[in-house]
Amino acid sequence: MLKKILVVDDSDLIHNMYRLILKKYPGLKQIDAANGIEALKILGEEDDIELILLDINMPLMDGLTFLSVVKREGIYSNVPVIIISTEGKEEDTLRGLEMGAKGYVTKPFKPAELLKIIDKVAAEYNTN
Amino acid sequence: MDDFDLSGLIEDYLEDARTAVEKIDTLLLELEQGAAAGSVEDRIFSELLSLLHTLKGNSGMMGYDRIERYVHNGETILKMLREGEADYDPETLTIVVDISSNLSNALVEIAREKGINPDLSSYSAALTERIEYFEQLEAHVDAPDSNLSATETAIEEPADDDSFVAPPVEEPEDIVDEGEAKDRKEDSSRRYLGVSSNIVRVDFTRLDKLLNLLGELVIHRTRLEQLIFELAERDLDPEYTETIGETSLKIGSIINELQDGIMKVRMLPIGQVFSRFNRLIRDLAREHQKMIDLAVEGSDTELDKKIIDQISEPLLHLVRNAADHGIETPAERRKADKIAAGTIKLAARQESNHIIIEVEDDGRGIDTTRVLKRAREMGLVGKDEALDEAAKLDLIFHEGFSTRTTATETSGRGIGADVVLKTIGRLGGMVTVDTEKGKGTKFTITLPLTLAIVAAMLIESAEKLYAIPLSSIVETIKVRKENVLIVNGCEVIDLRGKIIPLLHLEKVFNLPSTSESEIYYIVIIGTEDKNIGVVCDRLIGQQEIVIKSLDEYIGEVFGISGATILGSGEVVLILDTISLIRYNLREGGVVGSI
Repeated sequence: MLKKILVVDDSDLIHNMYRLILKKYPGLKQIDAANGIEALKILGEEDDIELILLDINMPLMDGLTFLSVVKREGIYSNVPVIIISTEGKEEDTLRGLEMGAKGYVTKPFKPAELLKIIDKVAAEYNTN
Repeated sequence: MDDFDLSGLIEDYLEDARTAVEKIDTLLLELEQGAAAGSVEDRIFSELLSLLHTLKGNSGMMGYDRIERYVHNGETILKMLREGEADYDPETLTIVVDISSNLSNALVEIAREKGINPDLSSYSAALTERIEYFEQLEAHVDAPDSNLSATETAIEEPADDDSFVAPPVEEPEDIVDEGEAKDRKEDSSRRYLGVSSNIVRVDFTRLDKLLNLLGELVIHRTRLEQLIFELAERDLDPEYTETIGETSLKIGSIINELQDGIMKVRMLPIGQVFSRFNRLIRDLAREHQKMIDLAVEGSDTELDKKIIDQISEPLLHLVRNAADHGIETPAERRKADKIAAGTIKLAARQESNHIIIEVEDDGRGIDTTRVLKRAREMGLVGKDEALDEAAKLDLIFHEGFSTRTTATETSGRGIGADVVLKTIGRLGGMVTVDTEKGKGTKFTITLPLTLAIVAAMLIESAEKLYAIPLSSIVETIKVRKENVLIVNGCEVIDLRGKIIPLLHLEKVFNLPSTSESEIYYIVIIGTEDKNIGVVCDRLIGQQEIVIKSLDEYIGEVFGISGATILGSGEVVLILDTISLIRYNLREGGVVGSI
């Protein structure tokens, strides 16, 4: 069962939306970061994050830069990342997948779609 | 957003949105000032686009689709302004600068009444109108009239009326003031009247009617030529006959031109069909968590509209196949040393009197072993029956063949290659497939240029006349019966090292066999690797025929794709080459090449 996830997105609205959607996972703790730098800081402090939802489009440190750092270092290089993309950003999504992201959804997406991807990615992670 | 109640998030949305709209408002003001001063900093565009992009995403997630669309249009027009594809004329500026206030009003509406989905459609429409206006200007400046064939240069007749299509080329210097005033006035008329165009929209049924009339004309023209020929033979009044003959020739050549003209009017660029696949590919990619690019070649290749209408579905099947089965996931592709994004390529080109359309992917290729296994499971192939690679590959075209056991959201059930083959066959075309394991798959569709009037070869077999479309004919030969070989109980000939199975039409159509001549006239039909020879008693000659469909009268008949009427009034059946080739395979005929 999914216990802790990190959501990286510059919109508070989106954070709250995910919180609502992810109620499906009882006992899930969701940690929010508004940009890549905050996210890296959080990864430094917490050590049991199981999944990262990553918005491609962010100020200060954008999604791809963050992803490349995560994939490089230490304990989080294997944690599954799901990219949250938008129409028109296919290049970035592709780059993200090449860097090792495990899945992607495109805004606007239906909550069910996100849940499906999360389940799939989490299942793969658990069997490894 | 069905199962989830997002009303609790509206406050959050509004807070985010209000901040964004304020910033957008400031930036739009800067844009307006920059436009007046003559240049707009690129930074303004980047910041605007970024804010709009986030707002668009948030609005979409909350279900405010009209706001989403309005913001999207705003993004588009700003991008066009940035690239110089749109002008900072007063009307455009007003509409753009109004974006922030329109958005602000929409947010107020939401704040006041929680359940509402604000309607910005009239503002959206205004933006769209501007966008299309500028796109049309761009198109008119760059491209020649799209109704002309690719080989012709566009020589436009100057418009007779006062409304012009492009701004006047040069104004004499000393009339500058008058010229400027004229420009401004014409500018304002243009704003209301739009850009006059040489393009007309026509109800296609009117074109069909014209084509029918033309068809009748062609039939009677042939008849007339025949009569004049017979008249000349009677040698009654040679001079008079000659005069009649000349007039008939003139009429004939005008009919040819008319035919060309009407055909051209019915032609449309295939790019229309290709561009519809962008959305599909994006959805398919998302559903399968793959990355897929669509590459397109030869978009301005033109086809008769009827063909274009009918070809969309087969192409859809093939594209879906490529996305479902062909392209691998990014992870699989990386393992195979390929770039993570797969490519599906749609290409079209004209070759003599054919159109070639290719659907190609760089995926994993068709696994013929799996195909064979599935075919055995379905009982299409016997357990002990051995097949060569080409035959295994051909199985996918078999009626009802499918490796899919479950339906997917975008693909439904089944591959549909058999349906593709059937549809293309009915258009008088052919489908072939090439595949290489690990590299990819390519489907090649060959179509005749026109549907209704085609060149055909008339043949006689067992005292009956048939027509074979020239586009299906590879070559015609004459063979002595003693040179015909028997392989596996079937008659075949050895043509320059290639074994070609023969087909007797009487056998196919269950007609009494009449002639026992020593000479076989053979019309070889098919494609490169799959040929059969249709045995005839006589080759009558080549002729242009008008294809009449028999569907309404007698429905689908095996081996026959339609009928035509000769000048003499005789009705001749047109052979369906695809089904004849498959008949040959089914009946255990020998397959193609050595």
